[in-house]
Amino acid sequence: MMSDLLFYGLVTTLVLLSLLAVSLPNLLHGAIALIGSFFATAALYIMLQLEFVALSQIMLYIGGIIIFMLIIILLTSGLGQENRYMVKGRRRAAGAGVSALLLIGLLLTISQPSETLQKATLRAAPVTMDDIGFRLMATNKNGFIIPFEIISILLLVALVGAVVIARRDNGQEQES
Amino acid sequence: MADLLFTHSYLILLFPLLSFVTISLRPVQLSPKMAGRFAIGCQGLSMLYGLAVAAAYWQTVIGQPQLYPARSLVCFDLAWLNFSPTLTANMGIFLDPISVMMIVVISIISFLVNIYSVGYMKDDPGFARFFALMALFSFSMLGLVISSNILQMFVFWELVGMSSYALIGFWYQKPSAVAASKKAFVVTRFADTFFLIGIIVVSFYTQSFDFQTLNSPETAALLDHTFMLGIVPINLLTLATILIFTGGWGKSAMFPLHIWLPDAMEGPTPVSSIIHSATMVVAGVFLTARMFPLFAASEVTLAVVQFVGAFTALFAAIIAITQKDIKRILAFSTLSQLGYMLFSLGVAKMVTGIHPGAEINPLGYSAAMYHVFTHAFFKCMLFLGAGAIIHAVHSNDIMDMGGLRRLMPKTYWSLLTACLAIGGIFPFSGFWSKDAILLAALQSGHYIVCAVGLATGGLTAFYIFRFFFLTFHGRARSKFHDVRENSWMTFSIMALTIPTVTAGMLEHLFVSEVTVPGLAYTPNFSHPLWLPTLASLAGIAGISLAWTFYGRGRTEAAERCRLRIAPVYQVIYNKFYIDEVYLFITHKIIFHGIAAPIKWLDRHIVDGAMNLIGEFLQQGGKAVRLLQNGQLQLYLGVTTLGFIALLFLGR
Amino acid sequence: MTLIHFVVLSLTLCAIGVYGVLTRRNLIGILLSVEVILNGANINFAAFAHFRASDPAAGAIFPIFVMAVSGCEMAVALAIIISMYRRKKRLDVYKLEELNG
Repeated sequence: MMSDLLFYGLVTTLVLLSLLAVSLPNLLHGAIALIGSFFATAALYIMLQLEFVALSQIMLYIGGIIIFMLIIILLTSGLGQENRYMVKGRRRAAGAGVSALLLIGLLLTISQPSETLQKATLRAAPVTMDDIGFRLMATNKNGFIIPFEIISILLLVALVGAVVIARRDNGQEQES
Repeated sequence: MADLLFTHSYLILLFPLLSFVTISLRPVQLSPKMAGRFAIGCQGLSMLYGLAVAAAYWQTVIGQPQLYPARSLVCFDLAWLNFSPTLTANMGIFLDPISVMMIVVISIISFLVNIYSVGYMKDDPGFARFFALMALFSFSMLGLVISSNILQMFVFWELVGMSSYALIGFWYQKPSAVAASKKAFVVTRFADTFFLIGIIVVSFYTQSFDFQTLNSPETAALLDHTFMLGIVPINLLTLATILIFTGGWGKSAMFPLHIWLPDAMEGPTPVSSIIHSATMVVAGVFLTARMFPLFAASEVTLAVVQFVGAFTALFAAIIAITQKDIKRILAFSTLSQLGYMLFSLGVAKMVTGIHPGAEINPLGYSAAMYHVFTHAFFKCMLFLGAGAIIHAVHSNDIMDMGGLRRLMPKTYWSLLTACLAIGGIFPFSGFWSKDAILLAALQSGHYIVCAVGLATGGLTAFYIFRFFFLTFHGRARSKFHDVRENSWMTFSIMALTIPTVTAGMLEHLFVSEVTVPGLAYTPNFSHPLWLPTLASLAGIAGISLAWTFYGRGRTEAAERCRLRIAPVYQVIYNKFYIDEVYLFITHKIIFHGIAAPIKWLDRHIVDGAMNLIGEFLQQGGKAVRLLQNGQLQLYLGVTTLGFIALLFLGR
Repeated sequence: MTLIHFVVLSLTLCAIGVYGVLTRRNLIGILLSVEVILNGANINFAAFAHFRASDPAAGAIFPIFVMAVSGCEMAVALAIIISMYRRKKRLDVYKLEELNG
């Protein structure tokens, strides 16, 4: 029961931090809340015996993506100033309504008596780092080599594209 | 030799066309002076060739009646448009007495008017353009008279209308000239529409455009049946011939379509001269003569022609008496003379029972053509003289003139012959042709028309000598500067005195040779002596009256007389308010009564419906546009809502 | 701690992310909310990989691909936001409406 308690604690933390991340007026605070939620997610992954995913979560998300985001926030708003664009209560209510509807719809969808979900309590053997590494590089039918290479090219293209887009042109951009 | 001339008879047309193309399209650069010379050269060649063709025609066709019983000759006839296997429109050249006569008249007069124009149009900025248009005008008219079929004639007919439009509006900077050219074009086009309908009707039934086919008795018999239009019985022959005649009605400016002709005086005087003598207005008479056998087959048509002609003759003569504008006097005089020609054609149909066994009196036909011939020369001269006077005096009003006899002696003496000719004084040409016309009316038993002709003769003499005396006699009523006769102009005027004086000798030629095609009937040309005597007396009476009123350039007696009949005078002076009636009909009735409601309907109902649809679409577009507001989150929200809808719908 | 718990958790995170996407006014805030949605999706993958153990390695690989794509997305987003900020000096999505009709 210790693990159940830990699970509910982690879930509560995760949902609360996510809520904070999307609703805190100051973006910088929101990003920090997001970091917290990612840590909680990583803990959940460890509970699911997916250590590699948990490590990637921490290294990629927290170490890479969130840092990216913090850099953007700091670059564009001068150390967190002017982050507080006023959002009307009506819009908040509309957004909350839409997302609540979505949640209800999704929950209703999975509330159908479904064997897949009900009986899915079997725990698999832990996935080791070796498994993941071999599967990623495997060239057989179940291998992920092609998506892996495509992702790598995508990353390259995205980085080059980012440089091209963000580069300061010596033409009309300087005047604006 | 003669065959060669006939084969290449298109050259008569080609020279003016060449002149038009060369001057207007300028393949080579010509100075205005050279353009004028070139135009005269082309007209001269055309005239020489026309005269040669006429001589060859005389020798070959008239001289050999056994070979050419119909006195006509088709030089060539090429298929132009194949409408159907049975109906083909040709382009050809058709020579018969009247077309040869017209070739001679048109080419001589065009040539002389071109020479005259060198003097008249001197220093005009549109000098070259003028000669180009004149060449086009004579090209069109020559093409009209030698057409071998009615469709070709219609083509040239419209070309005549178009070139007259361009020439009347030659001084396009003047609003009045533009209005006049538009008026001429619209009125004649209006009449031409009926002409075209007539052509379609006739060609539909006969499957032919050819004059020889159309004028045959078979065509008349084919068309001669009556059908009911609603409850009105209509004879197809009468309908078709009257429709065709309507074209000539408008072109010859017969009442009530005469309104364009006086306004056409806005053009340069040489243009008026050529329009009034040889080209435009004569086309209507020529058409009637060309289609004469078909017209004569109908009971009604010739009566209409006769009535319209006689009425216009008298009507225009009365108006001419009161006019003050020198060119308008001559314009109304032309109307009157055209009336003579038309009623002369009209009286060729015998009144039943006058001469048993004869239905057609060809003398009327011959007399009409003879009058076309003589009138062309003296009217051309009158206009050229009037142009010379206007050129010298710089005014159109005869009340500003007077005493020009000493200043312009050559013009004076030349115009005297023309005035005597139009007044019908022996032995000038007008006497003979009018005499023939009156005789034809008398012989056919149309006594009233004959009397109208006699009375009009008297009026003609009066108004033409009123013009003559007021212009040349007495003392000058305004100051003239530098009145001088231009040798280019006087040459043409003096050249025209020759036919004016001598054309009377051709009477017997016309009577015996220019006859109705396909009618073997020797005209009865026996003269009762009292008729020419009476006509001469009427003319002399008119001249004497003019002398009493206006001799020595006096106007006082006429002024007193005018005041005594002021209301009547006013009506006549305003041309019986026909223009105003037209304006009333067009503006008040057609524009306000018919066009305005239609316009209202169009604006409010038709356009309204369209606007409603447009407005609906526009508003719909605006409404849809609101969704497309660029707000990212609205898009995302709507997308999410769509997804939610799918979730609930998918259950 | 069953699969259904994880699924509900991931759906909740997704709804929270959608709420953020719809209400955040700053462009970066929207990106941040998208990360919350992706996080929910990743949890979903991992949970299915763990509980439906036919091919757990594949379920573990997929979150890694998601992270990689998310990294690309952030890189491009950074570039776009930087250049936009340079032009407009603001990242208010209310004002970014050049594409309106």
